[in-house]
Amino acid sequence: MAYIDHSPKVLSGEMSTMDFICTTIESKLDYALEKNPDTRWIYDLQVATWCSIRDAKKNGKKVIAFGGPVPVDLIYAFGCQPYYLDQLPLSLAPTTAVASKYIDLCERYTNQSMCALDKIELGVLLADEYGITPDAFVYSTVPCDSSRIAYPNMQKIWNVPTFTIDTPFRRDERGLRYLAKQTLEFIEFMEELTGTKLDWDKFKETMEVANKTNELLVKCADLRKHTPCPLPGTLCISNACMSGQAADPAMVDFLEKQLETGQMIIDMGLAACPNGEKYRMMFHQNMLWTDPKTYGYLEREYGAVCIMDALGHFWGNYYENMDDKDDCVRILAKKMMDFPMIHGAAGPVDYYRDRIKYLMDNFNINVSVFFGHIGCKHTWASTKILSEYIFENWGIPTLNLDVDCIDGRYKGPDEIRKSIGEYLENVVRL
Amino acid sequence: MDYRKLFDCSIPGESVSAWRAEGKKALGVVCCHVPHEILHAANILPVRLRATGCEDYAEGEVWMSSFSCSFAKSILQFFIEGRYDLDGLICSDGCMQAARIYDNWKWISEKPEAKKQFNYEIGVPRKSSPTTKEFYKEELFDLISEMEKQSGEKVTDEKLIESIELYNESRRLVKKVLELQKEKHPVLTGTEALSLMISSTNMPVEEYIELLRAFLADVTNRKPITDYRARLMLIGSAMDDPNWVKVIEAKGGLFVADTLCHGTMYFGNEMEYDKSDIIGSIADYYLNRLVCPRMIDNRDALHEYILNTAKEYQVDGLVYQKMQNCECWGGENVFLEGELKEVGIPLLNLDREQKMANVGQLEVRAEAFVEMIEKEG
Ligand code: SF4
Ligand code: SF4
Repeated sequence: MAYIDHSPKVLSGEMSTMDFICTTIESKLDYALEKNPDTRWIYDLQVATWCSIRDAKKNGKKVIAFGGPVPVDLIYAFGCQPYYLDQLPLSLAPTTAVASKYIDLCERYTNQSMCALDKIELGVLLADEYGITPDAFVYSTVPCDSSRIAYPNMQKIWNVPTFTIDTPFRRDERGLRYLAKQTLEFIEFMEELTGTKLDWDKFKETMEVANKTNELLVKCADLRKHTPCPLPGTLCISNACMSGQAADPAMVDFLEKQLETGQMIIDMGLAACPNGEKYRMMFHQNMLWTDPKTYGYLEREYGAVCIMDALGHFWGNYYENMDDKDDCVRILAKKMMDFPMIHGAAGPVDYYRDRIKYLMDNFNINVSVFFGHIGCKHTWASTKILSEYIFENWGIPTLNLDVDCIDGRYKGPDEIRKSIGEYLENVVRL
Repeated sequence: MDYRKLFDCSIPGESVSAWRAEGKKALGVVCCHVPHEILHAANILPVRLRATGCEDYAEGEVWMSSFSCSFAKSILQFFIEGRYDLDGLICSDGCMQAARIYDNWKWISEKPEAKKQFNYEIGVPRKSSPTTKEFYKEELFDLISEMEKQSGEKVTDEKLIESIELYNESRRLVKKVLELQKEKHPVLTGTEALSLMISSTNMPVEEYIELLRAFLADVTNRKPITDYRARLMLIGSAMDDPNWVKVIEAKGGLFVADTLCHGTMYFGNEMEYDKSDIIGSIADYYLNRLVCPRMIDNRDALHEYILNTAKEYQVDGLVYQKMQNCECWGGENVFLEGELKEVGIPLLNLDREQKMANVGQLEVRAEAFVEMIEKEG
């Protein structure tokens, strides 16, 4: 079946963003099944995730929209369907015309400099084109100033039961206790919303799944330590959002397949870079959601693979004593602290440095790129510290490259590819 | 007493230097959530940092990039230039760019060749609830012990109450000044009112109180302003440059009210306190005081305050200035514009940078706005 472009319908307002994304990925899956069935696992997960949100109400589940680090595992345990709002801009970003529609609409009310992730999340709501109204909204006070402006406005427009979590600035024992306390309050909120008490056995099932996916995510990340790197940079993109939905059973198949594929590539002596690996790049900010093909291009043309991104990378947190409520709540709190994008960027810069240190020490990196999303101003405000830190400790200079990871109009793929290519050839020169 | 110092909007260093000359410490404070009362009770002078008059923040920009807010970059610039004569810095995570002033300055000042100084940061919740209050209280207890270490003086409840009373007195006096702006013919321009509030940042509260008292005693000698064309209210990002206000006032507007974190909102209401839980009272005050949209749960209250103040001060139009790259103040128009429309208050949206750029354009827009609302009025 040929791939069908539904963007005209969403541009005219005839189709909601939910239907647009679901039909687009369904037709991508059909296409993959016809042309290259071996890649179906990549699309299976997207279809499963999006369709389960779209069909949740039909299946008797409440939809809980969420932004930032919140105790998502509990949403699953209450039998509800989480909708991680960042997935929306990430899914729309490759279709520039569609993304622009909502970005422009949002900019009629907000700063142009606001992060485009938030512009899309708010813009789609201003256009009333989510295609779904959540039963509740849960959000935290980070990742950033942009989200802290978008979410309260969205709360007011949706006007559904809302729970907010304040993420502490420092990630210490006090902060952990603070988040644990708020997690207990969240349980009360969910009990009231669903009219049921938290079923600990159901929660245990959820914890098992979350442990499994966390373990797989860490193993997939660890595979990338191998030189040459077996997995392509694009998979960093898909893995970045996963810890937010780690208790979704659909993740297990995807990650097992990813792990298996990576291992197989190593065993076969192959690598992500088809013509040999030269450059092992760490991207220490966002990923290029507007054009995932750039990663493949760099791998092919320059032998340059994105080994890991510092915002998407995460350390697994595992439930150990599943009968001990306090312990489980602490793990939920810890997971919020270690949530991708939050762990490094949304607190004092020391945490960002720790994350980078781990990647530099363990992933055999030889190229450092601050792939800086222009909306992410607080991370930009740490670029010089990070560049100096990397240079002082590993002798590697950093390329600071400004991009808009969501709004493709800011800089096209050719310009981005050229900048990285020139940097590799003229500065890094391996 | 010569109170002209209240209208000096540069960053004069004499009071701070005089304080330090007595062997006492003075610490720079970023944003509004580090309680000055605590520093005062430890006999430390809090100096709210600003960047008034910073025309070139090139070095600040090297550290914080062109994508950051120029207010934050300019403060960093002043630090790098050694413009402030201080013993260190205390930051709260007001907005995330302001918080990076701390990160960058800490990194720079910890370089081997740099002069060592004290850097400290407190976490401040972004919503108000019993849980967040408990957290903030713990942060404040830590702040107290840090301040005690710095000054070598014990912070007791008695000292805290004394400090609260002093700051309350300054709040009462500023309120009296602001009441004058309600008159049909006020005696202060908006430029002067903002300067008067901003000047508090660079002197001990005791000195500020004396100056305010002297000013209020003399206020009847001031000439009422009768030649303005429209009464204005100013809202938006950090605004510590009365010269910017002056440009608009030169076009016939008169600012009679504001919701600026360097202006009215910084002073807020008086702090009420419970003698049995002074730190709890301070935490309550700072978590619930309306200052800016950094809190996620104060937006309705902030809008209500804006609308009520506009009515109370009989404002003809509202000027909403946004610093480039300031997200904190970037999203109010989703609802505010409509709310203002409902009550018939016109709104002028202006983008700006910390340094005075595009003055010609500002003049044109200010003139057009004043003309428009003057006609409507
Ligand atoms: S990319 Fe940066 S600015 Fe955007 S939501 Fe994430 S942390 Fe915020
Ligand atoms: S002007 Fe805005 S971005 Fe700048 S420090 Fe203030 S709140 Fe933050």
